[in-house]
Order: sequence, then structure tokens, then C-alpha cells
Amino acid sequence: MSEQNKVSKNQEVNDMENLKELVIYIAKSLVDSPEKVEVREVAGEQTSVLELKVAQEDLGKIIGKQGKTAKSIRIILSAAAAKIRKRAVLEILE
Amino acid sequence: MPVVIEKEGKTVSEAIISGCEALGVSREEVDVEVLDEGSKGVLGIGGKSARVKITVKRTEVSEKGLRAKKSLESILGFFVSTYSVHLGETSEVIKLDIKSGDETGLLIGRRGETLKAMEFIVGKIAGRFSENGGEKRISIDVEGYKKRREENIAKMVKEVAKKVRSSGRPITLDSMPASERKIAYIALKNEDGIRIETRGEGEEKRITINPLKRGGGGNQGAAHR
Repeated sequence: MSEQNKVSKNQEVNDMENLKELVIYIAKSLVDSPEKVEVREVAGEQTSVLELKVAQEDLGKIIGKQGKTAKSIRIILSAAAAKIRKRAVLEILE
Repeated sequence: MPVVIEKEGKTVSEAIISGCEALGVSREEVDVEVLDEGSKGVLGIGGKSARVKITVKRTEVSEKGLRAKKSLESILGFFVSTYSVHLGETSEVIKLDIKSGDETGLLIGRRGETLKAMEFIVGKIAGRFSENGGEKRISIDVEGYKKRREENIAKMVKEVAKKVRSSGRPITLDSMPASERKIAYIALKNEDGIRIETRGEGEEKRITINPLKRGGGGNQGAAHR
């Protein structure tokens, strides 16, 4: 029984890890300094917050004109989170 | 013009593999010309790396198209279990068609918003470094969703135009994104007896179909067709 719990718990960690990796991939592909991309997960009961940090000069590339890039990343993240029946919010740190 | 790159590696096959990976294509999709076989040297000293020239067989695909396909596949890989992406290009558009049995709805999103978001992000990523094909627009579809939607919009606006003509009264449509308004304009291009007007800003732009002959009496409008 406890063995089974352990397995499902691991699965969950992997799932959240996937969302994090998704955000990292997109962010790294858009910026000039991919080595400065960091994502931290702040886990909550229902909703997890993914805090994205990029180099100051790259902030504009992540947000985009009228926030269109940030909005698009959020929509893709929501779809990916829905797949694993989770809610994930993207927070872009300035 | 086909996409061509040169790649170095410890051996010829390593150079080929890394080249194919960089382009996001499989070995069968490229022609390879060995420029330098390379040599091992003695005890790792004096070795020379191998060099190959890799040419993508499909001449109609651009570097931007290949890059777009690769980045879309990467994004899907994080949350979709089974999918395949087909790349097709014309002189103006890079078309990426996703096949994904169970996850089609998830990938479309509410009113196609997930599809549109992926299109935007993939466009940004692919457009960054691509000189070849840079001017082409990217269009992503899932299981023919967009195509059906386009057909529905064309059908809907033509029906509205008919109504406007017969009633002689203008009708304003729901707000539509630019891509859908374009479809509406094209569908209405050859419709007689109406005049199109667009009002509003950004996401809230709406098309109004006006009758050329105004009047409350519907019959009059219809009679002048």
C-alpha cells in the first residue's frame, strides 16, 4: 500500500517538473541570455506558482508587445497543467 | 532553395547525427556529402575532425519551417503523450499540422486560444535566427480544426450578408480576431449589395455588414438584387 503511494507521489513530482521544464524551454528559446533563465516552483494546495526570472535585458522578450508573449506562455502553461488536472500560474519576476 | 548546413564531429557519423539534430530532421530526410573524413591521430594527438555537408531533400522547406517544427514538437513533448507534426510550406505560409488523437481539444483550447498561443510562441522562436524563410507566416492546425472553422466562418458571413440584403438592415458580427476577419473579408468579397465596415480596437474589432440599399421594407432591398 505504502509502496503504491510512493509511486503516485513520484508521478506528481514528475508532472510538475514537466510544467517547469516547459516554461524553461520556452523562456530559454526566446531570450538572449538563456543561462540566466530560472524557474522556481511555489507549490500550493490547488495551484502552483511558477516564478520565472530572466536577465533584466530579456524581460521585454518574455513579456512582448502589450504582454502578448507572456499571455501566450500562460495559455500554453494552463493547457499543460489542465492535462495533469492541476492549476499553474506563471509569475514573471522583475 | 534547399537548406544546407556544414557540421563537424569526431567521426563522420557523429557529424551527421549532430547536423540532423540541429535541423530537427531524420537521416532519411537529408543528403550527405563528406567533406573531410577526419583522422584519429595517435593517442588522441594530431587528430582531425570530420566535416560533412548536409542538404535537406525537401526543397520547399525553409530553415524557419524546420525550426518551427522542432520547437512545436519540443513544446508538445512536455505535456502531450502521443502526437506527430507534419510540416508543409508554400511561398507565404509555414503550415504545421498536429495529429494527436485524444488531446485535440486540449490543444485547441477555448475558441482556439491554445492553438493561437502556440502559433505565436513558435513563430517567435523560429523567427529569431532564421534568415531562410524568415518572411513566412506560421500557421498551426490540429486535426483540421482551423480549416473547419474557416469554412464555418465563410458560410456564416455569407448567410448574414443574405439576411442584410433582404432586410435592408445592417448587422454587426461578434468580435473576431484578425485571422478570422480576414477569412470573413475574403468570403464577402464577391457578395453584391452589401458594404463592409470594421469598428472597434484590438481584440474588440467587429465587422458590420451594411446594405447598399437602406430601408425598413425588406422587399425593396431584395427586389434590387
